[in-house]
Amino acid sequence: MKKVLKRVMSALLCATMLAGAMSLCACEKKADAETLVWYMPADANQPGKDAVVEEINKITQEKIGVNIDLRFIDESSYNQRLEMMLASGEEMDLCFIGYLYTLQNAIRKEALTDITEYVKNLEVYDTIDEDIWKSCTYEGKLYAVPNIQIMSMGTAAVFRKDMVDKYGLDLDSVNSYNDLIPFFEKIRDNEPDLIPERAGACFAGEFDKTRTYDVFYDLVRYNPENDKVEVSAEMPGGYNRAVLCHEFYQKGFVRKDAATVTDDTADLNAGRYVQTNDASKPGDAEERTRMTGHEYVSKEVVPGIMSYNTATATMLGVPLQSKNPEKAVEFINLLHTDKDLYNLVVFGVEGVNYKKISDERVERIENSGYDMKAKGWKFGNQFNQYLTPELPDGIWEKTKEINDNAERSEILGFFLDDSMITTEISQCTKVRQEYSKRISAGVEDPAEYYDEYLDKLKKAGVYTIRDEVQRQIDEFKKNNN
Amino acid sequence: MKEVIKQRKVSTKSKGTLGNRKWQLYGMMAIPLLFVIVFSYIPMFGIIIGFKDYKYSRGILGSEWVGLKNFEFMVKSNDFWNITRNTILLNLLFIVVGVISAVVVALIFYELKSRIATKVYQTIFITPHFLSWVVVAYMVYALLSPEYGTINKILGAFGISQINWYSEPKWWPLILTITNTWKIVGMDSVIYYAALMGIDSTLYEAAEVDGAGKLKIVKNIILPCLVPLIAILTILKIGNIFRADFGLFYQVTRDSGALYSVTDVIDTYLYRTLTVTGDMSLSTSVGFLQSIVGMVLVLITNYITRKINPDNALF
Repeated sequence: MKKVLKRVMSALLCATMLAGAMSLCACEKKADAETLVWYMPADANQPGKDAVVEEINKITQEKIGVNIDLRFIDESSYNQRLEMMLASGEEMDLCFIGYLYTLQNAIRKEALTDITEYVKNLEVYDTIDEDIWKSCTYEGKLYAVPNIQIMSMGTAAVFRKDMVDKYGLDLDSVNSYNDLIPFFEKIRDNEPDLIPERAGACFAGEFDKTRTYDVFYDLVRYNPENDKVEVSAEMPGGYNRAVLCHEFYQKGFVRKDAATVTDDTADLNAGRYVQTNDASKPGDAEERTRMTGHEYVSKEVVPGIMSYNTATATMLGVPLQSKNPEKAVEFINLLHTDKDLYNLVVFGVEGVNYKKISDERVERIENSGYDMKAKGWKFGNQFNQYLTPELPDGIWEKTKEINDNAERSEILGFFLDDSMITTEISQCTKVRQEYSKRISAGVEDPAEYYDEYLDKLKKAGVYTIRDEVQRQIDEFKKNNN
Repeated sequence: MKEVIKQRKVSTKSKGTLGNRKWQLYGMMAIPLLFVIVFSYIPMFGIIIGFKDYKYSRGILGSEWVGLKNFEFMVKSNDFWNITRNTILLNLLFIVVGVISAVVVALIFYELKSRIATKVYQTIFITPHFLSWVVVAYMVYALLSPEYGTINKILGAFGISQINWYSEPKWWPLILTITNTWKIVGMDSVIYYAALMGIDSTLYEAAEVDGAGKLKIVKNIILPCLVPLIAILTILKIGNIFRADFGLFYQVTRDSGALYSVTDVIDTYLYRTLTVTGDMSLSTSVGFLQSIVGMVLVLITNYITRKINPDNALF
C-alpha cells in the first residue's frame, strides 16, 4: 500500500512540474494577436505612459483595428537590448532602427521583414523623397520607413547662453576649437560646477567637414572630393581630433573621468556641459534648452549634406518575428499622417501632460509622468509636431526647405553589400571600440598609441573593407551615370 | 577514494535490502540529473551556431554552414594570444595568492581561542563574498576615481603627482589580485577552517609534548593534513582557469579600453564580441573554444596530480 502511495505521489509530482512548465509556455503566447508591440529608445521611467497608451489605442482601434503596446528602453542600452530581442525572436512588431541600431546591421542579420508591398500602397510612400527611399532600399526591397525630419545634418556647436553672455563670447567669430580656448579657460577657472566641453560622447569631436561624409560602419568614409574611400582613422581629422582631445584633457576642459563614465546623460540633462556638439538643424539649441532647462544657443560649424547616414538615421522597422507586418506598416503610416496620434505620442494627453495655447502651440505640464524630451524626430513625421514655447514659428517650413535644397551625397541610393567582408568588419569594429573612448577621453597622449591603433586596424583588415567598398561604389557610379 | 567506493558496493550487495530500494536513490538523483540535462546538455545544441553564419530569418538549423570560419576569426585576431595569456596568468595568480591567503586566514581563525572573536572575524571576512561585483566596482572606483578618488586625494596631499588609474595598465594585475582575494578569502578560509577542526587534536598534544613549536606544528602536522583538500580545490579552480570572473574583469576595470592589454580576458572579449559586433556565430565559437581549452586544462592538471599522488586526483 505504502509503495503504491509513493508511486502515485511521485507521478503527481511529475505531473505538476510538467503542468507548471506548460503553463509557463502558455503565458508567453497569450498576447493578443491584435496588439502591436512597439519598442522605442526613450527614458524608460515614465509612470504616465499607460494613460497615454490608452489614448493611442482609442485612435488605432478606430482607424486600423489594433492595439499598441508602447515600450521604452533607455537609449544607452537600446542597441544591446534590441540585438538580443531580435536574436531571440521576442515578441515585437515595430522597433526604432537608425543611429542606435543601423539599418545596414539589421539587414545583414536578416532581422527585418520585407515591407515593400505594404508600404507602396500607403499614403506615407508619397510623402517621402525619392532619394531617401532609394537609400533605404536593399536589392529592391524596403525594410524600414524613414521618419520625416531634417535629412541633411551638419554639426552645430551648442552653448549655454548665460555663459556666452557672461564671458562675452562672440559666436560669429567661432570657426575652430582654437577660438574657443580663451572662453573655456574662463569657465574652467570661474565656474567650478560646470564642465566646458563634453567628451566621451557620440557627438564630441572637432569642427571637421569629413564628419559629414558617407561613413560605413564608422570605419571607412567616402570622400567626395577625390572620389576615394578612405579609412576614417587615417584621415587627417582622425589624428587631429585625438590630439585635440588630449590637449583639452590636459587643460581641464573635459571631465577627468571621461574614460570611465559610461553614461553621462544625467550631466547632459542637468546642463553641466557649457558646450556640446549636436546635429545642426533649425531648433537644435531650443531642443537642448527643453532637455536641460537652461537656455542654449547654437552655431552651425559644419554645413550638412544629405548622405546615406542622415537618410537612414531615424526610421521604424518591422522585425521578422512580427505576426502582423501589414498592420504594423499601417500603424507607421498612421504615425506619419495622423497629426493627433503623432502629437499624442510626442506630448501625451492634452490637459494631463500638456496644455494647448493655440492651434499649433502647446505648453508642457512639468512632472506629469510622460515626456519624450523633445525627441519627436524619433518616429513619424516631425513636421506635424506642435510647437513648444521655445521653438520659433515656421520652423518646420524652414526644415523642409533645407531638406529640399540640401546638397546631396553623390552616392545617395548606394547600399553596401557586405557579405564578403563581415569578418573584417567585426574585427575592425572591435579595434575601433577599444580605442574610440581612449581617443575622446583624451587621457593618453595619442603620439603613444595612435600608430598602434592604425596598425591593429590594418591587421584586422581595414584595407580589405576599404577596397571592397571602393569597388562597389565605383560599380554603383558606373551603373548610375 | 576508489577503494572506499568499492567497499560500499560490496556491502550494499551483501546486505541485499538496499538493492531493492535502489530505484528510490535513482529517483532522488533524477531531479538534479534533469536539471543538468535541461540546463547544461540541451543548450549545448546551440554550439552549432558557431559553425554557421547565423541569420535571424533562417533560424539556427536553416542558416548556412561555414565550417571553421568563425574560429579563424578568433585565432587570426590580434587579441587571441593577449587574452589567453591574461586569462591564464591572472587566474594562476589568483589561485596561488587565494590559496595561500585562505590557508593563512584559516590558521589564524584556528588559533583564536575565543568563540566570539572567531565569529566576529569570520563574519567580517565573509561579508565581501555576498557583495555583487557591481557594488565592489563602485567601491574600487571610490578609491581610484581620477578626480575624487581617495587614493588620489591622499597622493595629492603628500604632493605626489596623481595617477590616472584607469589609463595605466601596469597597476592592474595588482589591483585585480587584491580585489579578488579580498572578496573570496573569507569563504575559502571557512572550508580550510572546517578541515582544521577535523584534525585529531591528539596529534597536537603529542607534538607539544615532544616540544614542537607552533611553526613546526603547522609545517609537520597541519599542512600535510590540508594538502588533499588544497589539491582538490586547486584542481577545481584550474578547471575554471579559462573562465575568468566576468564581474571582476568587466565591472571593476569599468571596461576601460586603455587597460585591455592586461585586463582583457576571454569572458570580457566574448561579451564585447557579442555586444559590439552583435555577431552570434562569432560569440558562440569564442565560447566553445573557451570550453574546449578549459576541459583540456582540467585533464592535464588531473593527470599531473595523479602522477604525483593518485589519492589527491579528482578522477
